[in-house]
Amino acid sequence: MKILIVDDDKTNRLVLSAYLKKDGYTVIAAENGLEAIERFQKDEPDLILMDVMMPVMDGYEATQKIKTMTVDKFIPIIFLTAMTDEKALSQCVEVGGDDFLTKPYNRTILKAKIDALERVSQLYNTVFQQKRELISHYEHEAKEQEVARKVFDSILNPGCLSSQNIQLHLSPMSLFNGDVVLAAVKPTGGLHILFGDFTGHGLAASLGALPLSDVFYSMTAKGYSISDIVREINHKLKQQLPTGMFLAACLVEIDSTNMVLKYWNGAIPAAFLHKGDALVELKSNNLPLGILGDSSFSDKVEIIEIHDYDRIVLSTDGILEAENSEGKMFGPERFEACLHYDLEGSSINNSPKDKDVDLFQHILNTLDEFTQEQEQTDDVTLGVITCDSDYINQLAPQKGGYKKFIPTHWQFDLQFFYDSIKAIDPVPLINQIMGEIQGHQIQQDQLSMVLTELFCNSLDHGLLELDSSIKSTPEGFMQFYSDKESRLAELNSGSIYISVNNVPNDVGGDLTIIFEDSGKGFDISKLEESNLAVDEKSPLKFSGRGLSLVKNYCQSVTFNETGNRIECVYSWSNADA
Amino acid sequence: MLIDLDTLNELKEIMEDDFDELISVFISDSQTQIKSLQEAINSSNSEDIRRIAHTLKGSSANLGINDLSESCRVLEHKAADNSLEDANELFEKIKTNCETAISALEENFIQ
Repeated sequence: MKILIVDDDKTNRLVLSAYLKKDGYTVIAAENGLEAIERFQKDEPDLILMDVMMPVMDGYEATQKIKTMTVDKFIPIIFLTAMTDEKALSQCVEVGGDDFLTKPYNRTILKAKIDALERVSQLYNTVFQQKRELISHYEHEAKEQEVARKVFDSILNPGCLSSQNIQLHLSPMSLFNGDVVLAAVKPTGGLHILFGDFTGHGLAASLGALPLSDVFYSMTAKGYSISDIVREINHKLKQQLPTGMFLAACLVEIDSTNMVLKYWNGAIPAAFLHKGDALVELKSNNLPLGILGDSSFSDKVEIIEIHDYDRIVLSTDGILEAENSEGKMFGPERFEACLHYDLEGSSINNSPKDKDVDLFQHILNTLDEFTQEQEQTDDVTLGVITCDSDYINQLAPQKGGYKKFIPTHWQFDLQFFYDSIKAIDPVPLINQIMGEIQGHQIQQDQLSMVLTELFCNSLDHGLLELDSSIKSTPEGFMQFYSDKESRLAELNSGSIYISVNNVPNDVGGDLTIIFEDSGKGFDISKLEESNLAVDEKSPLKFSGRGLSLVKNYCQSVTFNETGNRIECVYSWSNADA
Repeated sequence: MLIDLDTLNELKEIMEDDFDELISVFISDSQTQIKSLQEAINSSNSEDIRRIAHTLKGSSANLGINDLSESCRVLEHKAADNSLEDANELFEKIKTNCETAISALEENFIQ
């Protein structure tokens, strides 16, 4: 240990230095404050003994200067003074002195004081060292997160999150809270949205986002339903995530053609459909994703009829668990009360509605008022999605980069028996086969709608013998879907045959699509009447066996005499050209 | 006792070869300081009187020369209070104390 003695009197320096050397310390000396600062910078002593009254620069000034030079290191300074003047003593403390020593020096007391300060100094310096390490670790982690965020941002498909009907509050670091929001346009029109919250925090929590977004976007693009997607995500996460890590998620499909909302909720606590005059909770009936094996996992989706300007409100638990200064949580009751803000006829919210503040902003404002800290919203992921069918219908599905294909002549035939119909949605499969042959030259959005309509026609009316006229009332609408589910479950015979043939032409090709079901068929003479009866303004204009959508998009649509086989020609032009 | 021989003997034991230097430094420094103190009193410079008395007080205390240290302490305080009526009287006492101490040091510690 190196000690600096600062005293203008040589006898004092000699005596002190002798004492200290005897106790094994290395001693250096200075004759005044200015010299002390120079010696301090040059020789870096561990402790300083400082006289007060000295020429050139006194002990107070020198101490003050040295203390400001040592903010991240503790260098004890002991003042050498007569303990008689209180004012002088308090000044010693003010400038940063750590102890006093009076003349004549007592060797034992000197040694004891130095030992005590040495321990304090070691403690301080350990703390400083740890603090430096912590800061450096923190900076390192922040840098890593920043890099990781950039990597993720470039990998993670933004989908259609920036669509006008999606309002999103998402912290730039949300990925590291484990929050994920994905949205994509279906090839048949409509939206798929996923609101997810991985267990845990930090980089580990965000790793699952990569396989998740992969599955979500590629399956959506291929036309799979949310129940297929949720099953595949569960499968993949179960396989890839470590034990104890899983994803609370709510998958939502806005079918803007049929104006229905389909959802699957696994442990997202705050999911609601705001219908303007009523609030419907999108209840969680499932465990989070990545826990159950394939056989016990349920991909059953719930279906709700929606209208234009209904809003879906989704939030991860960050909002419910936001705390105020008293440690109280925002909680589900306050969240739900927020949703009554612009609910017609609601008695819960008495505060007058501000026309300029929409529901989304109102929720965030209420949360800010509650927490009284703006930073709290950093942990909050909130989304409000408006069901605006005109807007959603014009959104274009995403396209990727593909290799060059030229239109060629081909045909494939598929036959699905009743058990495979229960398990497989043939539309994405057909799209996939065509994609393999023809790349993405065939724009799939219209074609997928045609195929879906044709398949539904064969299944609903051909095999399941459902009566779609009941869909004209809201009760019947729900009845239809519930009948469809139960009849499909009971189906124990029958098949659907599908044939797709392409003949290339100058601009693309003509697809001849045939759907033939094993059902009884129907009286095709009634088809013309029902077509005439279609009311353009009715929201349910596609119900019935009118297949008006198919007729709109195809060059020709013909039934066989028994009505169980439909053949249509769909012309396409090269989307790459 | 004008000087505390126990303190000095302890110092001698601890400082070994450096002790002789300490004694000679004290003798020459204190003589210089007595001269400076005389000049400061003659010109009634209370700040100089205080500073010199302070220094001599400290160094004499270290060597166990307690009478001298005590006289210096009194003068230092009077100078700080700017009450220098009996400064000459005190100075004479300090000078005598110092001379006696130097003789004792020379007698006991200088071969």
